[in-house]
Amino acid sequence: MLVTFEFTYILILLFISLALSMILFFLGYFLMFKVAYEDKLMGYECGFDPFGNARGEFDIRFYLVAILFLIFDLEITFLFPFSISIMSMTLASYSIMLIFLIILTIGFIYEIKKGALDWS
Amino acid sequence: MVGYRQKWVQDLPPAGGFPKLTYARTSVSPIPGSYIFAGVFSVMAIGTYIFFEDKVKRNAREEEEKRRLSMILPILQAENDINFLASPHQNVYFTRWMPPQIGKRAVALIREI
Amino acid sequence: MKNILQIVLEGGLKSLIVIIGLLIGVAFATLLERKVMAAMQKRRGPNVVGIVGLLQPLADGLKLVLKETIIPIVADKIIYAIAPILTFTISIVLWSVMAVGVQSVFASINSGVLFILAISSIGVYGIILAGWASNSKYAFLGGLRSAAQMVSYEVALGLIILSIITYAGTINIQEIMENQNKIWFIVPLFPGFLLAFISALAETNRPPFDLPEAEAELVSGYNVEYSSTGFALFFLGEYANIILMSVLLAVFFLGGIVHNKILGAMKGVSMLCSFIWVRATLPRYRYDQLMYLGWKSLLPFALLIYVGVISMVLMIK
Repeated sequence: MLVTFEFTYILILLFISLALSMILFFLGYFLMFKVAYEDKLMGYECGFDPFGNARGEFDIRFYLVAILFLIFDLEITFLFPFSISIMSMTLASYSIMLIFLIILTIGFIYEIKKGALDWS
Repeated sequence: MVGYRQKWVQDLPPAGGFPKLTYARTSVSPIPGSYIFAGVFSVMAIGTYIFFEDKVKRNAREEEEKRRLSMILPILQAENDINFLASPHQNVYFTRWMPPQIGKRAVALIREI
Repeated sequence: MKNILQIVLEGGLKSLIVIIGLLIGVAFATLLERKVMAAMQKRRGPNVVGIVGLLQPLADGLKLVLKETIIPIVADKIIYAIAPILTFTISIVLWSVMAVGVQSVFASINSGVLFILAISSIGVYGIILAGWASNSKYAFLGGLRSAAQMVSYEVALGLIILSIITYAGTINIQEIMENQNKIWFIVPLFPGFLLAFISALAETNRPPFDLPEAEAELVSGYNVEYSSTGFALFFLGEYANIILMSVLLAVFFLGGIVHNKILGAMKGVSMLCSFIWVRATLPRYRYDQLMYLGWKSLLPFALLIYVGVISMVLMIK
């Protein structure tokens, strides 16, 4: 049988580390003494009672950065197979990949010029 | 102070104090930046040359090994098939067995089992 | 053919070795950091517990475990518990494909680099969940900042890794190490090494890019509300990631751990020491400067290096 058990080992490691961290967390939670009163259990805000909603609005640019990241991460994922099998690539495939990169770079430059990454 | 014994030795500056700090801006390296750049790039070029010389050799060797393995693979495959069919607990029709790919790792695995 | 019990036993024993080794490594990494920083600032560092302070990390860990776990009333209880567990688990699982020698590795899978990239991306979730679940302004801002920072530096790091695997022609970590028998990748790819080092600093939230933990503005970032073991799990996960990054840099650029294990370990430790060196030397970045550095200078430069590398390989062929 041509089966390797490497991924099974990784699964076992995942379960063991999951169990270990859960034990650590809940051991600390259930075993140690607790003295709970209102001031301690309130959200931390430098000595004041917290005012306003903590999950209020946030800057749109975080969102833009996430979208840009999606595009570039996809690009990296596309480039992975190309990079590994580059020894069996021809000039034609190289130029196609170059065109792909250039299109992405043009989009990136457009985004910079539009001011999507101006933090100020 | 009767009965007092010094337990800890305090860290004190060396006799005569620490040497004076020079606040003036120390001169940067006497080699101009363009020379450093040229040096780094020439080392990179030499490194690239050495790497690719090695790489071309290694690729040729791997190619040869692949051809050699593809020659003997049918025999190894047949051996493996015999072992597989001879083992009593295997059902031939419901199995996830697949023919191995040609490659050194696959062949090593066949050998191992 | 092995039976299932055998596989589980073998895997369990191997995982115990990995986990125990990792935990001891993390403990002494914290001690190393404090000692090296003390030496750089003309102090002694921790030297009371144990022989020369060798038991300090154990004492710290014990103190953290014995503290009281506080879960704020306003927090999402379940997500609040999940976040540190996720961070710690991910940081351990990442180590499963790290090769500590051409033959000795926990799981020798053929797509090691891809595995590391994929799993380390999940690590962002731990931080975001922690920031969200705490329901505190500081934690929320810290989590957002941290996520944006890790995400934007991952792109540059990914491109540098791409150029390495283009040179090596494989994504198996052991084969990448074998590829550097003749010459280390730091020589032909020196600018790539610099970029990867900076990205690794930002990826692990180390100074000078420790914006999420900026004490002056955000008290402690995403883990303000975490107290005893929750904080310990975050701390362990963070340091495990730092060690992983330094070992990864050593594997990708300094030839990895091939023949002499002591020499190989010294490569990783030297990278770790340079992480600490940077922390002791440089002041913190501003957030907009950080984003400019990541997107406008590291990313185009990394893209340029990648295009140069593929052109070089095709030219040679």
